[in-house]
Amino acid sequence: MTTSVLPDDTVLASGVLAGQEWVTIRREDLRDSMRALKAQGFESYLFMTCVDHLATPVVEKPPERFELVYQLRDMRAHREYRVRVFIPENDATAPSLHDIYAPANWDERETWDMFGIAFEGHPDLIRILMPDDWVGHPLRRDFPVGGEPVDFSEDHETWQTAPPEA
Amino acid sequence: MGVEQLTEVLGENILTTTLGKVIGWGRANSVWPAQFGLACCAIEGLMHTAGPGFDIGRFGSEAMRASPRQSDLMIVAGRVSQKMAPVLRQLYDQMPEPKWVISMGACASTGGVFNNYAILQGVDKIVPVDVYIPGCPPRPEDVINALMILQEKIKAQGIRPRL
Repeated sequence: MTTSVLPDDTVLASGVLAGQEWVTIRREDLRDSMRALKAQGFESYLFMTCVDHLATPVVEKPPERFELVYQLRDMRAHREYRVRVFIPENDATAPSLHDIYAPANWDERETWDMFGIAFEGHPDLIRILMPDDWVGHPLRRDFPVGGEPVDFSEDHETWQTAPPEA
Repeated sequence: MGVEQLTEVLGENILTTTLGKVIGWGRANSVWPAQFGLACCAIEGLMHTAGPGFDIGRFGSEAMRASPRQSDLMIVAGRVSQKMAPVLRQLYDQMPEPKWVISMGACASTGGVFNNYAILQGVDKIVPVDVYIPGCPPRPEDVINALMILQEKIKAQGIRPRL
């Protein structure tokens, strides 16, 4: 089992974690790499999600704040593959994959809703979970938890109720 | 036929009361809840309570209506998200008067453990609540008890419109 099925010059890092192959690639190479992976048999798009590395207690400091994680599966070879792309905070955009993998459409809408990653080329990038008039992206780590302060609780003094201004 | 003759015919078989008491008695014993569950409380509050083990039909409330236009009780069973709140209010507005609301469980009453941006911190922010049930989730007995409390309230209300 090889750890990389992509050309070496596109792979920034790769490894195997708990039996799971993964690679990190550049954002510019995302669409071409996904097309290549699909042609190699990874035809099933399992999920895409986002990680906000703001103040994450990790051993190795991530290169950028946001990380997109794509999980693909080869149904014939019974094999899965994970693709990671880092997205900078001041340019939180990524290319849309809706024309390569159709299920990416709603995943990208959810990632836009929750993390504020704008997917370029997406046909209808609107909120999918939160109300349409919502301000902010709730799963970002600098978004207040919200709710109401609870009397006599430990964090009563520091509780932040209002969402931040857009 | 005069009143004297009527008394003669019917004897002791006459009760006198007020219109409000009769109407309240009728309303209280046929409360039709909306078939409307939001989360896990719906398992206990609507399905389990209406099942044969607890049988809310003993109190005249087994007819859960799938349309708000046919119901007069809304059991808010579960957490209300910010996005669901306008939908819930619209369902409430579609119910004909007189109508009542039971807030079932910790989530519907206060937001429960979900003290965050996504969940309404108590359904009483958008609809008037008549009876609150504590618990996570409340037992079906609690729901039946809340219905009996509500029945007393309905009987006391009589024909007076809601304030």
